[in-house]
Amino acid sequence: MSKSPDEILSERIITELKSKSLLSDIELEKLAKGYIRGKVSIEDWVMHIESSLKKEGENGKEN
Amino acid sequence: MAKRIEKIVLKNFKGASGLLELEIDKNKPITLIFGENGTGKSTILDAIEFVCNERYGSIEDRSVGRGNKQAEYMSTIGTTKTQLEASVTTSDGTWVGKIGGRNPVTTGPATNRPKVEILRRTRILSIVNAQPNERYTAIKGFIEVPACEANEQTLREAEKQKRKEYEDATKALQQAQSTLKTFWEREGKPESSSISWAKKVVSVDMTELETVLKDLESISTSLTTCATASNGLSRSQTEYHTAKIEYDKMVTNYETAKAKYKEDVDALIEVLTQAQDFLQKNVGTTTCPVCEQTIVPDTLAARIRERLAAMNEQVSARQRMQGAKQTLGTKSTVVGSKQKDFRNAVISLKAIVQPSTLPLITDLKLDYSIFKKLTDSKMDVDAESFDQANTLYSAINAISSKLAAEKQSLSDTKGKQKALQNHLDTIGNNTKTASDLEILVKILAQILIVVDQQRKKFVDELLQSIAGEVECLYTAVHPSEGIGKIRWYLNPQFQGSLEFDGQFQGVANVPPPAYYSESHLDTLGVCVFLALSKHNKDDNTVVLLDDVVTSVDQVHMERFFKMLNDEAENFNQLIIGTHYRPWRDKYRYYSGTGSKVQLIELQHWSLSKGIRHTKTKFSIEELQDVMVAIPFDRQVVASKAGILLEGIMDRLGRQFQCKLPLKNDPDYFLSDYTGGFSSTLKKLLRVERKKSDDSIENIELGKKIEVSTEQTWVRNKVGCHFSVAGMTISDSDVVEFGRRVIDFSSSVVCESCGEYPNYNKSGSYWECRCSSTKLFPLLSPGQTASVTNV
Repeated sequence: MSKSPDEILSERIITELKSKSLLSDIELEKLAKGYIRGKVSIEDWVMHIESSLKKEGENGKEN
Repeated sequence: MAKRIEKIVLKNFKGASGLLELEIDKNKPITLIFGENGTGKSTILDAIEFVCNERYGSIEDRSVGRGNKQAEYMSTIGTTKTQLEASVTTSDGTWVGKIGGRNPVTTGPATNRPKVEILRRTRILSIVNAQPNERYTAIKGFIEVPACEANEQTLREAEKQKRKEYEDATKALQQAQSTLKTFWEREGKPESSSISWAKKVVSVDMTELETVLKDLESISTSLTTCATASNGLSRSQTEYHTAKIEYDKMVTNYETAKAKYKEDVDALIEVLTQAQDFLQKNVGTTTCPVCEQTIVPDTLAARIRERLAAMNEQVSARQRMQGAKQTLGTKSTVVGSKQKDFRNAVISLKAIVQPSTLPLITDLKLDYSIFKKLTDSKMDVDAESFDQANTLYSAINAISSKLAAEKQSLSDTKGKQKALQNHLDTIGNNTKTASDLEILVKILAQILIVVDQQRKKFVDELLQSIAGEVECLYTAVHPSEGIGKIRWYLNPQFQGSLEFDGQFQGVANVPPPAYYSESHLDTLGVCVFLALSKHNKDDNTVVLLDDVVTSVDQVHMERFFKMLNDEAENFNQLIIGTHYRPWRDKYRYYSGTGSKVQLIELQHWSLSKGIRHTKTKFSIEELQDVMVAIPFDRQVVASKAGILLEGIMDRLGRQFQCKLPLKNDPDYFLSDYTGGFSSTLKKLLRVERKKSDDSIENIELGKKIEVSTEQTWVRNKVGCHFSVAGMTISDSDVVEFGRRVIDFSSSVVCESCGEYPNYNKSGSYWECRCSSTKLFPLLSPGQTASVTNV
């Protein structure tokens, strides 16, 4: 079964965000689930970024 | 496998007054509904869209309002929207559309409802001729990515919201810094910076100050209570004195009134009043209770009233005096109560000031031993305790201004420290918040760029892909005309703005509406629509074309029909409504029973009869029917056979570029066609037909032409003109003429797909769509190149 335009574009966007390291892999995974359904809220966007930054901070401390 | 629409039923739906049932041949991918203007084509197509897409159809493009207004105009005039009903049936079930409230509502099987894409003339104009934003709106449904757009929208809002929060935090930070600086400058810029100064100020321990301030506040509150009680006492004493003056005055007045009598007036009034009471309580008594003399009660009562009336002044004065005495007693009680309140308030004050170490209090050097009576608030107030209370209150109240000033000073110090602490907190908090938000906003903006660019890139790719498809379709209709090369792109400067350009006479990137003819724009619009529909199609997609072509010339029309025939294979079903008669005749004359096209012809419409239709037969079938009809109509048979023969000869003649006389009137007769086919061509003309058992049947077409044209005189004498000679022609001759024409026509049209062999796929011969029937040769002797479409 062929993918819908939304599915194709969602995948492209997630891939591009990953290549630019704008969000952590875990958050990108979570984002992708909501993205395909068009259900990413304002709070979700903020939460994904903040969680990625927090994770980045923790990794920085560990290193 | 998707199921095709096989039945449409309309009840009180627009022009379908009453009931209209329309059977569609589900075995044929194309249905052509032909009818003059106003016969109901759009009504039928609107009904399909109404049921399948829950839309109001063509009325949505007209200025009749929205929602309820549109709903009102969907029902046949004279009926209401609740009486309206339309249904569409496939072999998967029936879907019924009605108007529920403001919008169409369809009920039926949950899956496999046909998905309808409909193109109307108004939409063609929106696609090719409108402004870029209207063009975008017209095709938005084909290129939109709703889920991604929804996410992008929330992302934009998140970025906007957080940017605002960042700006607010920055503003608050700057304000706090500025205020702190002002305070610092007022203080003469102590320390190295406003921050270090403020930090130093707020670091000072305020515990002692707060204790002192608390004491001061307690004393202040207690003093206020004492003052209130003192004021209340003063007011009550004033009222007591006023009452005393009034009482004294009343006593004097009474004494004056009493002096007018020698007797004891008080006792006399008392006796008379009691005697009056006795007589009222002992009605009818005739004996005086004091002297036991006989009395006349009424007479005695009257006399008592007279005597009391005579002493009215004394009676009133006595009553006023007694009232004043009572008031004085009340006021006296209030004074006592207020004295106690005041005394008790001072007892509370004493409890606060006695242990106080405040210098202002200790400096008074009060000897608390003289205030021994100021201990128990339950005790009655006596003169001694009251005096002690007054003494202590006066002593403390004397320094109330100093106490208030001290309190204000300490409060200011405390307030200043608190304000500085608040500013430092604001700076601290907002520095962190602003810093966090700055990073967040930056990432949101970066993500937004990615999302926006990816969507535009995706849509551009989509448009390019569609443009490629448009180019294929358009070139098929307009080959070698130096037009096409259509390019679509979103204008990055505006949201929802779709630009397009194309080629004209080899010049690229020109706006088609500026250079293309109306008919070229029409076919371009159809090609764009088909390309978009193809891109979005699924197994259930049904394409409806509602009178989309009005101004295409013969050559382009042929190519256009061919393109549509080819494209129909990409969709589940293609239903065309047209008033363009050549379209209907094209199918009617050049197709047979196996054709992929069903013809439906709409009759003249009237409100009383509604939409009426007839299934139009192909000419071969029609001739077959009239030949066996009873009673036999020889004129009709001869006429129809002649027209069918002319149609086939015309097609063959064009295909092989036969030489016909050059005439002002481009209509040719059978005699013209008969002479146009050279004997050489007739010898070469043959049809090769693949039978159901895979055997090949060879038909020499030249002979068929000769046989069928031998009897053209039958058409002329019987089918066309009044002719005495024609009357001598027998019915069997007429039948034979018809039979030969049917035989010839059926030889050319494919038995399998019902189509005329007009595809040059091999470069060696013509073939029908299914390739079962081949027509030889490709070129007539002397012909250098084949016609591209016939």
